[in-house]
Amino acid sequence: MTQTAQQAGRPRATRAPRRLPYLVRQLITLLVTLFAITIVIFGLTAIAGDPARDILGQYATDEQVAAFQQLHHLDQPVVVRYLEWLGGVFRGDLGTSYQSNGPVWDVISPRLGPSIVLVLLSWVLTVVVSVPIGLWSGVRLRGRRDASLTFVTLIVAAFPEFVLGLMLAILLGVWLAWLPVDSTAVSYGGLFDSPSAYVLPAITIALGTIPYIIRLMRANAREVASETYVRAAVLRGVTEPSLSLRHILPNAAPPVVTALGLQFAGLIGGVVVAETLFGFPGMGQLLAQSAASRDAPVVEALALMIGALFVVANLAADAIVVYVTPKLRDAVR
Amino acid sequence: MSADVLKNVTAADVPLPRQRSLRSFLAIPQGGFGVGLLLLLLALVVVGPFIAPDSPNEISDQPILGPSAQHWLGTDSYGRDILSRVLHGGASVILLPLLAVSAAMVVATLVGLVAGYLGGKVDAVVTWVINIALAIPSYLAVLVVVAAFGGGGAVVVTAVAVVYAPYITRVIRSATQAIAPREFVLAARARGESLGWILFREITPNIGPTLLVEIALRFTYAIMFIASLSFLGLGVQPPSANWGVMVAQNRALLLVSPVGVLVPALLIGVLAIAVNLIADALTQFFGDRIHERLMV
Amino acid sequence: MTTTQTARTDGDLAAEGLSVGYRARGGLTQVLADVTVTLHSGQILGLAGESGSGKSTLALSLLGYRVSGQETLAGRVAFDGRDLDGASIKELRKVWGARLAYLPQDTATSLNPALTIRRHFVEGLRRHRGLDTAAAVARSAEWLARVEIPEPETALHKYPHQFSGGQQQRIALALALSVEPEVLILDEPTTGLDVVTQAHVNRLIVTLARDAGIAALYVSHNLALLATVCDELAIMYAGQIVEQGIAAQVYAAPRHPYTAALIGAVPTIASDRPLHGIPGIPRPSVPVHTCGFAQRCTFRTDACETDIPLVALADDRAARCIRLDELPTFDPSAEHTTAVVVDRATAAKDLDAILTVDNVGVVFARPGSGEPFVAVDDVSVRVPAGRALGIAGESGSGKSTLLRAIAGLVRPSSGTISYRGAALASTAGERPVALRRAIQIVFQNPDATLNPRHTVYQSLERPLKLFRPDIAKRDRRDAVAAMMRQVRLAPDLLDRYPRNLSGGQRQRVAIGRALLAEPEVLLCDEVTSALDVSVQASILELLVGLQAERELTVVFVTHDLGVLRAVADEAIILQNGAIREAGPTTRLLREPTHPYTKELIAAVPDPDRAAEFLSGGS
Repeated sequence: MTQTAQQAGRPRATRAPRRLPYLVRQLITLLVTLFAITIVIFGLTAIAGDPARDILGQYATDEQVAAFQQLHHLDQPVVVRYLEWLGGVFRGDLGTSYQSNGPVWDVISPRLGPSIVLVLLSWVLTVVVSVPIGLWSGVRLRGRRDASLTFVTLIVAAFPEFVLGLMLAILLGVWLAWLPVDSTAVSYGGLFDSPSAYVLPAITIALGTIPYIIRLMRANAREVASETYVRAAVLRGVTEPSLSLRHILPNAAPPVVTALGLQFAGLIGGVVVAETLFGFPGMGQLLAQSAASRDAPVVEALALMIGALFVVANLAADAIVVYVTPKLRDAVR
Repeated sequence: MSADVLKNVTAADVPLPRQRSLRSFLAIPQGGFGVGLLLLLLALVVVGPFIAPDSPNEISDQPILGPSAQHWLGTDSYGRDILSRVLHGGASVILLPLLAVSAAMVVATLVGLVAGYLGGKVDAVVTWVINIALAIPSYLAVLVVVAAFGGGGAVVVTAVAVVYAPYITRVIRSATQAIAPREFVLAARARGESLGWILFREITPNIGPTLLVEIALRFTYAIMFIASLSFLGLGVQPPSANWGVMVAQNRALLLVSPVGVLVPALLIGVLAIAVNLIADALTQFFGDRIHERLMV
Repeated sequence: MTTTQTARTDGDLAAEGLSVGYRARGGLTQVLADVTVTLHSGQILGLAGESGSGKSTLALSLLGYRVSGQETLAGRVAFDGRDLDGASIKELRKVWGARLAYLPQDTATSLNPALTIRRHFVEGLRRHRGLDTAAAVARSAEWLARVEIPEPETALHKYPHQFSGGQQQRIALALALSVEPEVLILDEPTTGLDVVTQAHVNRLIVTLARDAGIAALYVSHNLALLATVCDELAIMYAGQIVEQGIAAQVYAAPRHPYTAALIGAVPTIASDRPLHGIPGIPRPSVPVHTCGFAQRCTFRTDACETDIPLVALADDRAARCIRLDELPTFDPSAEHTTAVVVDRATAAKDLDAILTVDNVGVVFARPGSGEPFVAVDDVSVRVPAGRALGIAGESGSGKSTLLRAIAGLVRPSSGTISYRGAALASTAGERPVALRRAIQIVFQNPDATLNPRHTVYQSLERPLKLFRPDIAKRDRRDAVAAMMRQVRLAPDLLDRYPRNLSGGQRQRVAIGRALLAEPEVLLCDEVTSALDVSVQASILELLVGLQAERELTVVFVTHDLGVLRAVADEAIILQNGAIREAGPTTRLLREPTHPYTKELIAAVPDPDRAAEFLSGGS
């Protein structure tokens, strides 16, 4: 049997090398991760084999297939293609779409703005709704009303975004007719010319993450509220709102901040579904369409951009967590 | 990632077995309600195909009819009876996620146990792979796979299993790490017990509750995820009767006959709710806190 | 019903006939019954009790603090003539921190990790004393200096985690006292700290509380400590106060059988009296129509099956026993005259060493930092066959690591460990079966020592399967049952799971599991430190008995010098992984030569030398 020191690690007499600052180390890890993502993405497309036949259809001539392969450099070895693609990325060239046969960038660029606005909107909505509710319910709410809130969050959390979006569309769009059920309008005119088209998708996306953040905030607030130091503060005469905001929130927030960074991944799912559902002309809709039509270059470019955003979001969350947690601030130096 | 910085799973988060009956599980509101809902849905899915008035792909009437005595939920744009399609369309909504979760559980439990207990280099490699895998948003990963291999049930199940395995591994590994330094494991090591005995007889029974919660939670997510993929046209392919596919296809009918979209959509929701309620009840029942700690 | 103290002065805090219960899931569990205590200005009342006796509930109830579900069933808590129970939360918050201060148990978590020390202080001083920030900061620095925190001005800008556990608790003490309260409630304020640090904090608590003329309640499980530092002493059992009086008198001449038995169970380093455990486990609930201690009492009669009042014996003395008139005043110190005390260390030199540790070092890589951590530093020791070696030291001294290295659970970085002259492989897995059998280990934590998923029988059967091929499969159950009797457990517990056993019972099973392998050497890692003192004494009695009977070699790790004295023939004192002093236990404790040993001994509270303890000992 292999014996290993389980807790403190294997006894080691050697001196470890000097360490880089925590956030620099994190950044390096994340860059490596991003690099790994590109390899995984490209590797998968390579394993899948030549898509020419699938895309052009079974009635395409051999010449058409050959032309397609040449246009997209499919006749070259995978490694060469990968390096070319990677080099292109650094030059700002994301490749050529299988479907439009034009530059990938031209396909993506008009969709960037609307998607970024949509994501920020949903993210802000998530924070302003879930953090106060979570904190309040964790510190104050007990008994039946607390159980009811839990029940509601569980139920909302279990509805896939497309179901939530559909219900919202029927309620607010069809029955009450307050909002357009179709967000195609965003593609015409300026970014903010049709604000109402953002509402339903944003609420749908936010509803996908709100229950989760409420529950996390509530659980953390409740745990901190039961700590000895909070009881000690109460017995020193500390009153609300100081108790919740100064004594509980700073200790309960860090995991939630991390989760908000990680939830960026959850938002992506929401964005893909909500954009498809409401016909919102953004990157999510494009991603789903391109995946369905097997337009690998577009998917690869989108995956890289979204992956990079995700990585940045997590790095930012890390930095905030370290900044607000005195113990970590010392530990990571 | 920062989840690792904050991750301080201790033995106290791994629930100890408690002597509690099935009845006391059902007495938790979430438990009773969730199990009840799930049983109802399972009955619908199992019995449905036998009581459906028409076969799912049979063009039985005019397209796009509203609800009537003959077609309780109306007909879709091909003139197929929506009720019949609903009654047939549940099996794949349950089975595909079940397959994906089972496959992922088996691999992840083994890897998590071994990495968590042995530590050292094995663990370092596993952790490294997990961290990279977790840095790829699930949707993105699955969409890339679909773009490469094309859609369909088999591809989606495999992709979801692969995408979920690192998450499950992380939970099992943490639970194992919390149990491994406990003194009964040390006692087993001092007795010179074999690796197999320690992993499967000393540790596994103690992470049983965590495993159960994990299965239920993961199953909830998989139901939602795979249904969403089917909705996006990437999972189960038309013309199969599948609630997710039906929502996508009947979405065009939204303004004419919302019931035809709403019913399959709600059924997916209710199924996920039932399993999610059970997951929450299990968490309460066992006092599991690992999932909260790891922010899964 | 007799109330011992009725006269009160203003500013006094008192519980009068207080009964408290918790309501949960429709049922009501009573935790306090008819408790009457008064805190007097300038005096410290010690409240002693084992776990579950209700002492912490009383501490919080005296503050008017109610956890959810808590109900006052009878009596009241009065402060300054006013009823704290009926007070609104608004009124309470004016009193809390300002006039009633609280120092909680868990040293590591009594201060908020997200706030600087300054913010802790300023908040209260502004709110309760109306100081402006500058004045509050000045006052805080002054108080930090009084609790001997170095560089108070700098310290104010630090966060709690940047201080040691002892410093944190001293800061918490300063924080409580800085608003100049009239009453201070201390709930196990030094539990979890090392003995030397404990002694330091306790000295400060007593000095500062007396200087400020505060009325204090000191709650602790440590009877000897309370008898040393308190003016008055109240003994709690099963939610009732069973005896109360001047601390020195209660400790020297107890009247209640429980008090006497408890004192007899406390290991001391000063006297040679043997330990006596109290049979059974502490009563988990408040007694109704019976004496709470009756089940475990040697003096029980049928007359005890009734509600027993607290009877005043003198102005300042009361006890809750129906047979007070018949029973003598107990004399805990008298017992050593009848007990046979053998100085077993004398002949040890001549015996062969069964276990030899030669220049062993253990170094850990510290996760998250480059500095390796030296847990054990070049330790050499020989353990004579059939004797008990004690390894004593504070937490972090490396004592448990050394023991685990012997057990083959931690790989030494240097040196060798030999058994009967032959070097042992570093890890248990590499050792032959015969050696794994010969060396057995028992662990500290009764909650984790047995696999919660295995029945007692499954746990006990395992060593038989591995190490005892001589016992046929069908005879195993008999062998296990025989062992259960040897460790004084009823064999009908065999099919239970650990969760159905008390902590003491689990430790007995763990000892039985080790002994079923028929070991030559038994390694004990703080096996009693998590147990109540009455249960600890029984386990130590059992171990000492078994050791003599089976001629076992025992290596016993402990942080408690009293326990060391009770079990070990010879002892080594570890500090920072290195041996500071070694020798026969009795001599080592009576005539220590190393300054560190002296410091450790001076830090042990001894009611007979209270003045010495409070002045700082050596």
